[in-house]
Amino acid sequence: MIETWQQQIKAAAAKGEKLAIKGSGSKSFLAPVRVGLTLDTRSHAGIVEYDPKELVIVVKCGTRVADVEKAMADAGQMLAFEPPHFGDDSTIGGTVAAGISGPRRAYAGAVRDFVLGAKVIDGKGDHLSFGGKVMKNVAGFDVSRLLVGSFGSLGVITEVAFKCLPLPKAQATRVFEMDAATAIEAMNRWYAEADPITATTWVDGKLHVRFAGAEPAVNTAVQKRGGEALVNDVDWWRDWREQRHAFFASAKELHRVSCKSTAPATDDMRTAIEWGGALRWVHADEASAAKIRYQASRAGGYASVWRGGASTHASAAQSLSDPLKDIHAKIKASFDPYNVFPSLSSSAGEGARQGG
Amino acid sequence: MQTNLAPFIKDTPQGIEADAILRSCVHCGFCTATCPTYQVLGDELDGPRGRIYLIKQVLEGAEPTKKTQQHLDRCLTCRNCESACPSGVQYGRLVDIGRSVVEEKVGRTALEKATRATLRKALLNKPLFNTAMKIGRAVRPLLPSALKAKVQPLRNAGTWPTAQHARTMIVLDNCVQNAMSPSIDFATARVLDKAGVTLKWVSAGGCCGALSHHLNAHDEAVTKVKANIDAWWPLIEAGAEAIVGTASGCSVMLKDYGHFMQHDAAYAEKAKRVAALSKDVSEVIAAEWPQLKAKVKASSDRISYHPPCTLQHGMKLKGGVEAMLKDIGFDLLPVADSHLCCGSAGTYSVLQPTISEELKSRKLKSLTAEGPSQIATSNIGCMTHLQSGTTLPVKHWIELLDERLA
Amino acid sequence: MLVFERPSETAVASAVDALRKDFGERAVTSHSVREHHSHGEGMRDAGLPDVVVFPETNEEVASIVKLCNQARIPVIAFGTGTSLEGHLKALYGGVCIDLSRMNNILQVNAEDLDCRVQAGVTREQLNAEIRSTGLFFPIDPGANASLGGMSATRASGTNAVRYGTMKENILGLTVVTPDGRIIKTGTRARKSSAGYDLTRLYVGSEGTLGIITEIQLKLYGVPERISAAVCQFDELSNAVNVVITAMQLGIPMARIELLDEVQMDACIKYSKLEGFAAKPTLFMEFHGTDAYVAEQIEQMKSITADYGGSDYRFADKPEDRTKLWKARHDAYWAGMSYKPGNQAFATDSCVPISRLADCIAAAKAEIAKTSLTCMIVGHVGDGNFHVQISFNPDNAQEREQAETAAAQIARIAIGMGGTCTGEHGIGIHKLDALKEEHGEAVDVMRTIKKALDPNNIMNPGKTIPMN
Repeated sequence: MIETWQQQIKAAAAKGEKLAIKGSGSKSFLAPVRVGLTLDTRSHAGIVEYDPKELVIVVKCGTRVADVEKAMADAGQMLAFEPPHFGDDSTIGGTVAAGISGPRRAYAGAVRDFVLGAKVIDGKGDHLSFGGKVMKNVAGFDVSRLLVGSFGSLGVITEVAFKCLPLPKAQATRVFEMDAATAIEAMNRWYAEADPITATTWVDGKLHVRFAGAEPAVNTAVQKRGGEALVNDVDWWRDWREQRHAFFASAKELHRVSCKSTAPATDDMRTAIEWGGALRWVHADEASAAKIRYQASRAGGYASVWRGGASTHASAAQSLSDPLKDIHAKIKASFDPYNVFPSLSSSAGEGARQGG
Repeated sequence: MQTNLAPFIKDTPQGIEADAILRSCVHCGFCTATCPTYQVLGDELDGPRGRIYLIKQVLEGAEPTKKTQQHLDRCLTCRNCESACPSGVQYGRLVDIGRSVVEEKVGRTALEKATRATLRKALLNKPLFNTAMKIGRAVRPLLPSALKAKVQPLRNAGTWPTAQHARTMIVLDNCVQNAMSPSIDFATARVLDKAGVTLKWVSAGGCCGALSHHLNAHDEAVTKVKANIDAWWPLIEAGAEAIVGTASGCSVMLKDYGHFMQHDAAYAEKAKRVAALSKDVSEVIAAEWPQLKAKVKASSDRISYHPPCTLQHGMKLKGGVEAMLKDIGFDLLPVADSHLCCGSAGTYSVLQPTISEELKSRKLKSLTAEGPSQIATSNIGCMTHLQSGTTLPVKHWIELLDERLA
Repeated sequence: MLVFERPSETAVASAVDALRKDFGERAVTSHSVREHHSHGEGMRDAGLPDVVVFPETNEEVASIVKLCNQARIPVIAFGTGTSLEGHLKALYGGVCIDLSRMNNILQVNAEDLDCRVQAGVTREQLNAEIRSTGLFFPIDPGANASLGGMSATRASGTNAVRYGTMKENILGLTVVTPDGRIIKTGTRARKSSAGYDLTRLYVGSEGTLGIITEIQLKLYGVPERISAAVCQFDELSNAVNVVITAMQLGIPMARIELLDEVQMDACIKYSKLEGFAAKPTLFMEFHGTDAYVAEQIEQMKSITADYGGSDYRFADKPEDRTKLWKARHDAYWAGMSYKPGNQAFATDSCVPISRLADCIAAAKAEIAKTSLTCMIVGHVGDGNFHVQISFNPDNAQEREQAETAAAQIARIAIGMGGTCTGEHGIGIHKLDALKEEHGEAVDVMRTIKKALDPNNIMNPGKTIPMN
């Protein structure tokens, strides 16, 4: 398969044509506009190497995330960044290219923190290997992490090595009725006090806190913090991660706000808060979009359209400064000198760049 | 550290010693953080690691400059770095060698020479120094405040005990102490008298030799050392138990006599014997403490104590004085950074006044932070230096003991 | 144009003049200062910069870099001089930028668990200044390095298992680019990035893509309970197997460090440790609540018992812990002073944890072929360990043996799916190993270097082989 792709890329480069890299399409709504022949990554699937004792799993790009998670769960391990799938057939390649992490992100780390190495076919058709399979590696530039969130603009990610973590022994979710301001304060303080928190979400006037880890630690935290138990919390968190919760369904236009975790809540728009306060989801319309962006920048972060709405406006409003644009262009050209792959700025959904 | 000394010094006794010291240094830099001049100036070359490197370069044949000399001059020789060094680098000896080689190569300007000579001559010339201090005290009320601070009123020394005990010890005749604060030796004599020891004072013209040694007047230092040995020898033969230094700056030099005279065939053996008998007054008193303690009245005064560098780093005598003071009830206040130098460092306060003043004000700030009624220390240099910056009395700790003799 | 040789003397002289005019006494050309800035703590080879400048602001750094870019003169950033792979050697002379005067902590956002510092702030300085907030910054390479230098080399320390390395703990940077522009990467918000993740590119670029002048860092709450313990073994392999088991069970050790018998002997002597034998030893530390720490310790005790470990010696008091970890941090110097006059360098292999025992055994076998003294110390929880090879620098044969053994140990690690450098970096000493490890991928790294630094003025000759 790799050789076929290499030839396709070389041919496209020679003819000045474009290629679009695509997996199952589950995150297409986030990706740059893609034109040209589609290179479907799903034909390169399977687990290359997985010995649970090594705490490393090496996976081909087209492998379904669900399959990877199943194999790891059988061995008592997990992808600790809790990737959202956004579709049953969501692939590993797409997950890394989109650079999107789930609820555990604020506590365990982002996709990039678990990528130990990656193989990629660049715009010249060369198949290259960056990083490796070890926990620490400072040999040369950290290119494998640069690929995370690059949305297929630098090359075809063909294989990724992830760091594995053991599944927590115990887990419990507690629900607390409180307003947004109280919830923000609680999320930040409890985390600073070293509670074994692995996810937090405030939605519809309720704060959901997931404690996980060793049993005594979870029990102590539950006793200390109180709250109501959430039954069937595994399903609740999966729904939240996959954005199947009612909050998302009812949004016409949804904005994603990344800000400092202690930023005050905006009470005049329907909002959900997660990642300990650092990620906010806001229902918006044409009229409130500008206000959301303004408030986000005041809170030391920025807002972008996630679903619905006119994303190009958002993109124009928050474009990169000149020196940064210049650096981006140079990096892109280093990987893809003939512009075979889409550029990151030909964005259909500004949400695309907010990965992490 | 790898070394490759230049032919001019390689096989000399100095070169052999310096080479061994340089090789023991692994350049880790733990010394740098503790160095007082590095803390004030923040330049790598004004810390021990930088100075060791400079000395290494010079000994390996690099031409030193005035700047090299300045970095070495700025060292207080407090040897705080030796206490911090895990590898046991004998920095004090190395810097002595480095300074003498650099001085030979770079020389001194006429002004520097004159200042150093005057300082040495004035401090070593007892009649002159005594007179100067007497005049200073007489006109003290008329002096401007800056100078007034340097010339403190004389504390009444009292009388020397007359009892003749079977046990005897010799006290070193200090060059400056007896003029500036004669009460220290008198106090020592009285305290030892209570312990059944007669302290004998023999004049050999004064000075242990340290002053000349540190100003690179090697021959003058040797003369002083020989004069002392000659003066003490009859008393040593007659059974004197110890040679007592009442200023830690002198005690550390006395203990170094053996090393200092090792290449002098006529005096090497005698110097070794003298060094072995030499004790700081705190060691002597500590040995007699079980019987002395009962003869000292308790006190609950709040005091702070400054251990001189020559005591804690030079002789590695830590905590002994503090333990005795606490033992008779003194409220010994905690002092931040008590390992740091006060900036006196012999003639340093005169030769490097800016750094010295800065260190003095830092030291006084930590010494007075908890509100003591007086300050105690163990060395005349530190004592007068600190006294010049505070209105609180600064005394030798033996004076505090003497004041409380029952 | 690429700088592969010294710029002309006139170009250097006029640049030095210009810097003197702008910076006065903060532009230094004395030999001793240049010498001090030409090396880290590793092997010393000649290669002095022409001038050392001490800027105080981002703008001053930018002005120096701009000047050097126009004159095509190399620029080398200097933090505290504690790198190990020749990162600071001025191969082609040039301007050394000493960032030690940029030592302000710009913000501490206790509630947000982050802070922003200038590049010259050292890790100990940061921790001393934030102590009252109940927070700390965990990354602790042996030296009291500057945070700018730690970012530029992607440094890590003894507690990477629990807290990660620099790359996981940097939220954003201010960087002066090779053309003298000031850019900011990342944003204050932790979980965001606009466009490519440039922060990750600059972190670990060893000063070859730009000069890091400010860093936004994550901070952590000081745990309720910290407990340190030491356990000794008769066999090195048993100690290693304890670590492998602990990692596979997911016991969240804050620190787990291995010292072999020679290293332990050196540390006992150098750091004056009392009551320990010169045997293979594990230094461990547990962080968490009282109950959690107690459980971790129980789990570890049962594992060490299986492998014949000694009873635990605990250090719960802060001063005892400090002494213990200081001894560990000083292991490099302990090794250096073990044989006075000798030089030493340390290998830096990192392998998948399951191969750790094999890799250490193979490294030991490699050393056994020589007559050299070696000691092993490692952050074994990550699969990373160092063989410190001591040799007499005046003995050409010993030096050659040492270099051959080190190269061979790197090769063994790469062969086991590992890397030649887990934390020390490439510098000038591992350029060949990088090629061996990454093959053609080095071409892309080189292309990025050429694109972002077309005049090759940023720390030339380091990190990425240019031919």
